[in-house]
Amino acid sequence: MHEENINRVFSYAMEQISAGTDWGLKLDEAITQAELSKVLDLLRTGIREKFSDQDKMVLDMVAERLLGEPVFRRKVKSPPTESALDKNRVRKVVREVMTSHLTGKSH
Amino acid sequence: MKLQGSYSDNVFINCPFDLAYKPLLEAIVFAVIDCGFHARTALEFDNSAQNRLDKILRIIGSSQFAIHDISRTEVDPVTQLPRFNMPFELGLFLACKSFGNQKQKTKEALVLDHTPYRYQRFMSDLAGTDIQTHNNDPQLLIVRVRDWLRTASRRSSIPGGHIIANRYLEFREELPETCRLLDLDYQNLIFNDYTLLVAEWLRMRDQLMKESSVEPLPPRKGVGHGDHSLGEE
Repeated sequence: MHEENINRVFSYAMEQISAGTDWGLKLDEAITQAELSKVLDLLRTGIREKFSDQDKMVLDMVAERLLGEPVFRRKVKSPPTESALDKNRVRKVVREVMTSHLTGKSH
Repeated sequence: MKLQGSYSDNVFINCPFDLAYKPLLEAIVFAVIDCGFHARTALEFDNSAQNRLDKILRIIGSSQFAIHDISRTEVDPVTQLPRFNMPFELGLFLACKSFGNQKQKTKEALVLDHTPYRYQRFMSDLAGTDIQTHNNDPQLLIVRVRDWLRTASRRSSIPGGHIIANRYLEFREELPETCRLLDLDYQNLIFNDYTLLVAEWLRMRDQLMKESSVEPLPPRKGVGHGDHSLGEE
């Protein structure tokens, strides 16, 4: 039964990702939150080594939508403090610098 | 009105704020945020009118976790007196855990020093407590903080210590350029700007990782597990 539920989550998640679905709107139509919570509880308790990195990413997307927290990868949270910096500007610059470092380009 | 973050996500950092300790504080903050928690210190308040002790009590009350570094409890060469703020705040945290309500009793503390057993000479009441040492090494400190948070919070999603330590080197490498483009002095960042930069950098890294079809990002030139330098500082 557990395997069946996990497979169901995977099939659904992969199908929705391929179709470019808006997760927040359509996920609950195919599998109830209670069912998925049960599956995610199982995932937390020891069978995670069976999953590939791709599987884990998919499950994290599902878990984040339904439980607010990913299961495999930690979620970086916004600081609860106030900064005068413009977040959008920071994001743009961080991406620019990170990308240029990855591609080996100097700024 | 400032946001407080949730109790189970807040990590109170009780450490010195002087220039010599800055590389260690910045490493702790990075590790805490990369583990999925909020880093909280008295530095986050810009309202100087508020009493310092009130600020600290407010953060302690809203934090399930705390990191107390007592490594700078030593005689000041100028005043010939030791600094007792860190042991005092550690005492406040432990008292809160002991005498507080059910929520406060869930508090967990990590106590750090630079060398083993030194604390027994000035805080012998802590005998029997598990105190970790860091040898003033930011990379080792990151691993200590991560290992403790993993055990204390039981969150299995926390990345490995050496993964975080390596990411920290990458972050330090990019920080000067990022700050230059944002018109900031990277050697004098205020706490709230630093935490925002760390969080946004980690998020962007995760996002780029997803965009590259979950393949790990390639290692940077000159950044490896054996490199323990912290860049320009």
